[in-house]
Amino acid sequence: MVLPSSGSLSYNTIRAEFGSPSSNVYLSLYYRGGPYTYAIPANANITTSSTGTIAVNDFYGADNKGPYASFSGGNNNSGGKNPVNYYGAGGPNLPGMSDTSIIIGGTSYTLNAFFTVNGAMCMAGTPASNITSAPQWSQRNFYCYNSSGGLAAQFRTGWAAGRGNQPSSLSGISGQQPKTTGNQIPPGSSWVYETTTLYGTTVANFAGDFYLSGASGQPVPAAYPQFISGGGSSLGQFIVVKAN
Amino acid sequence: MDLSEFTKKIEVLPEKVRYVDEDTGEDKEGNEICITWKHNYLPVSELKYYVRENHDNFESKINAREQEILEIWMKELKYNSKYFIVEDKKIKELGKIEDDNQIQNWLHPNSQTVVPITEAEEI
Repeated sequence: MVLPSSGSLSYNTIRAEFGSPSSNVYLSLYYRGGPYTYAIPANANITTSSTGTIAVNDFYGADNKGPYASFSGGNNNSGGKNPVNYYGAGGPNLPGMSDTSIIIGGTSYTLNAFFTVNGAMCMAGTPASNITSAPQWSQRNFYCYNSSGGLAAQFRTGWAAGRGNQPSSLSGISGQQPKTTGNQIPPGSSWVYETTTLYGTTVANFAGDFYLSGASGQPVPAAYPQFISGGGSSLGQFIVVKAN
Repeated sequence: MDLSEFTKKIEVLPEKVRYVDEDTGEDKEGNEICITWKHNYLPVSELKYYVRENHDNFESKINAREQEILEIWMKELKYNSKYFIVEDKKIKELGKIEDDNQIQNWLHPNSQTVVPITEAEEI
């Protein structure tokens, strides 16, 4: 939910939108990047300092934290001859997510993991019941904003998202899906999103396709999952994730 | 220690608040709600939270605040947050062994129930 972009805005309206533990409404509680307000473009007019000048009209069109997930991403390099590089949160030896609630395509999810594996995207969360056979996850954009509100990365899911039956094998490797447990997946997750480059596939029917637990990829030509901007290593910092 | 015996009072505030309905893009008015948590018998603070009625994240915001309040209460009861956490509305000691599964998992971290067996390739 967003605040109105014009007209009168009462202090209570701002408090009710962002949520507050205090009966005394003080605007400095809501500085951008603070405990109640993410540094995202919708909040660009709000000061970033708890002691900076802040006014009610800075909140026109401002948005609360609810629809966005966030984390302080880390990096884990497995080392060795063929190192695997992880960036983000919730993955192997990576920090946990700090805000797991997110709205994707108008539906609420809990996001337990959001990280890259050698540049390939991996996400996990709950509930699986929100994922239907409809193209709910097809061509969704995940905007990743850094601590100053700049767009660090934008990832877009593939055309095939959320469609079809689960494959019994992936790139010739059996038993790959659904993979809701395992060392890459935080416990309690009921769905997983992975780009097939995780498996090093070059098989045309799988190349660049996307898999969600209980769903399979679709043949080419398809709009492949891809980073529109930024990439794997962009997730190794504080990130707020907005999905459309 | 069990912290679950508290009362949650929900009060509708008289002043209406404005918001944008993202489905329709319309400006709307709604009620602001004040939720008060009071423990039934422990000597801890009465704490509040304010949010709009029918907010998209009404439940999750209140759940997050409730967890925060339980952690505040834990500290008020002089538990050190370095060694204790609040889980399922109970104060629990970090890393405490409570059931045999935890011991087994420590002894056999990659047991069959964690990582499925894969057949060895024939050379």
